[in-house]
Amino acid sequence: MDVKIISNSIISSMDSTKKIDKIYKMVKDGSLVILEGRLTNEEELALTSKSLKHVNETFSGIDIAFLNVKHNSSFFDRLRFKLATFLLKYEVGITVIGPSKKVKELKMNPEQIEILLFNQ
Amino acid sequence: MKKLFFSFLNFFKKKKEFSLGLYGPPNAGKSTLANTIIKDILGEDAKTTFSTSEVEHETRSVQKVEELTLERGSKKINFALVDTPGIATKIDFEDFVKKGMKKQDAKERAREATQGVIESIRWVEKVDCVLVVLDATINPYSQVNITLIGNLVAKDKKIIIVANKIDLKNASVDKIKLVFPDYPLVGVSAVTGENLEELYKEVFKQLN
Repeated sequence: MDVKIISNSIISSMDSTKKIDKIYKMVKDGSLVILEGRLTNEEELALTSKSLKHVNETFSGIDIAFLNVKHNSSFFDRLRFKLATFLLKYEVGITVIGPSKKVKELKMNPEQIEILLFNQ
Repeated sequence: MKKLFFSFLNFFKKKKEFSLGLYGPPNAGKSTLANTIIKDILGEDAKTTFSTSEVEHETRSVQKVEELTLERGSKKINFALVDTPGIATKIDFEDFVKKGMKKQDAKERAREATQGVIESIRWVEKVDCVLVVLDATINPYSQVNITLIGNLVAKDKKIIIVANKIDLKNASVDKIKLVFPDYPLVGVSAVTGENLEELYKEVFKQLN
């Protein structure tokens, strides 16, 4: 499976529509996208809507999960996280987005994301 | 004259109908809860509007029952109950085939279900208060739940998290509380009606 890792600096300069189009295209083409940072809630829902509009026999939508660093961390870690988010202007962490015909499940917990793939 | 003006305003204030939306992932029991609330308010003979099924995406379009009144003591609210298709990021017709549907029917159900999810997302704008219905027997830590609740917060909607299916042995309200500690939460059973009064109390708190 093709895995694309995208730095936040690449997509942060794009507006929401371009960002969603770019991610959607990669996932629709069968890639697993690992994105530095997180899409906004609205962008995540817009990506979901866009994907669902194009569901067919070979594409059944997306799986998405976000792993951040603020869970179960100390007060100072949370403070550092807030400061980093403020300075970087994006939520620190990684987002995994994959085509659900290939990704069986993205198992999420606050410490890790487990990517389970279908046997090809 | 001033008194008359305020009576006039109060008349319209009393008539205000809130929109109470049921949102959540598929098969969390939204339609079952909607039916239970309607029967509780209108009586056992009330026609249950919302179709339910064990197969996911039974509700594939937004449905609304208007002119419901909830009255407890001196408190009263008029509201419309809005049942929405379950929010999901993927819908595969093959999942319906596995549940015994014919291929063509499964494809049609998948097509309607995808439109239903998109309609659900659009309807968020129109509701005043949202009951986020989660299945208390399933791990609530999913991106769909996090995004849905985050989006409702961003849109300044009032939220009550409903941990449904507490009648089942493996249900855990605490797990949901742990994942979403910042929101009011009520554990209910849509099937038995258990704890419905607690839910109403929370609805009054949010809408009054």
